Amino acid sequence: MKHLKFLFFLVFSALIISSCNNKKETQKKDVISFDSEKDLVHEKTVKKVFFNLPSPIEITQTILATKSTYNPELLNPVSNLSNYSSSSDLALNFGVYGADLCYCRVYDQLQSAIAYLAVIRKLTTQLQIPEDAGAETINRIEENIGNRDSIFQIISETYAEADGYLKENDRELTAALILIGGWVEGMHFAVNLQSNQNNQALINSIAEQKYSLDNLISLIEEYQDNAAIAEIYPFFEKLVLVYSNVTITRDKSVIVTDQDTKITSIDSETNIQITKEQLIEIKNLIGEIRTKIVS
Amino acid sequence: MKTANTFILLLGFLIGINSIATAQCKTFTKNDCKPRLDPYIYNGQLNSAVLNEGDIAELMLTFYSNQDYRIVVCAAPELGKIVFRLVDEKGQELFTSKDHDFTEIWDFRTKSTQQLVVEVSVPESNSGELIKSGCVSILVGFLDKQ
Repeated sequence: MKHLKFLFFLVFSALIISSCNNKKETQKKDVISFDSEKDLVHEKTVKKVFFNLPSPIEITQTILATKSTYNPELLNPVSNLSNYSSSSDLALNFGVYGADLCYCRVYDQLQSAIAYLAVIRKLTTQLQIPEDAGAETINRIEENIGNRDSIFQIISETYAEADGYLKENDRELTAALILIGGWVEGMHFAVNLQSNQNNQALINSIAEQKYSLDNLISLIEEYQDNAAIAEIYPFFEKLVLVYSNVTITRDKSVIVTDQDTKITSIDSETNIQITKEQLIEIKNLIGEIRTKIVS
Repeated sequence: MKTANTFILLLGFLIGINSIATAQCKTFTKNDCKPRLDPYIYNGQLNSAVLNEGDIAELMLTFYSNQDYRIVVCAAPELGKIVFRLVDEKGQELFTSKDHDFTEIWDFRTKSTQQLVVEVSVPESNSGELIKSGCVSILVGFLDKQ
């Protein structure tokens, strides 16, 4: 009986600790405000399912707006792979090389894409992501390398499989590092392409990364104990400071359905204010963060 | 010692059940939900979780300007008719599946970059049986511009 009580105590304690953790997570992630009536329900039950950041595929989509020429100097050379040994460096650069692969895809640089693919395959092995969660889809990329339409699809599946595997196996830090690396590389493309041309769409894209940065900094704060993150964290803090003065205002959203195309649009006027100085500061900070990651 | 062993077994059992549920959720997402994104390109973000009846879950997403998107919110049939809403930064409801026969898919274009919240509500059942739970997945796809 005494043992049974002890067992109940242990299980009960575990449940209490677990529910406290869940509560903390729910409160921390409770990010939107509704009207007062719904707020009551919201506070009681809402859960934020997952943390979400754009994959490199989405970030490199913004490059399409630039119509610039392919610049291989923007990529992290595949030869740098041998410089990375810690799991944090490998994960960060998995993200970097993933974005590089997408960049190659955007410009139809198939030979380069194959080289970056080989790097990602090695990193998948080094990060101990099993075959069925990564390499199998990588084989499919090699088979479909000439088919540009299917490559994005396969890259996205590779990311989803690796992301899912890492989250399932309590390796969220690795998943987070991959996302951080991918975001930094995507920004590196954007700020460098922008400095060579005055493309308003690209400037807007850089300014709008303010949203992703908000999500990213929450993620980075969670893992400040990690040495690799601790190294780049001060630069992210400065980046947040610069972005805090970038203003994005929006009118009320309107849903419009085109009667001919039947396409529904979320329409709202956006006013973005970002100065040349802010763009330069963002470029410099991204450069410093990227150097820390790739060198 | 016997108690400790029982506890470890119990804990292992609970962790095991959780792992099985998560793995089944991933399989459900892959086989039942992802095909519904076609012809849109999956953005590579795996957002799935096991929810109970009465739960409300949310996910904040960034949608970029001048892109065509598809959102698929799919749930295990035992959860019944789930409702998903899209709400903008100001709390304005842009879409609710309740007004569209509980559809699991919504296609739209964004004129400007938007931070939107996808909120999923699992209905409560009044059957008085055991609490129902099942997998819910939120997937996003976009059309390739090229």
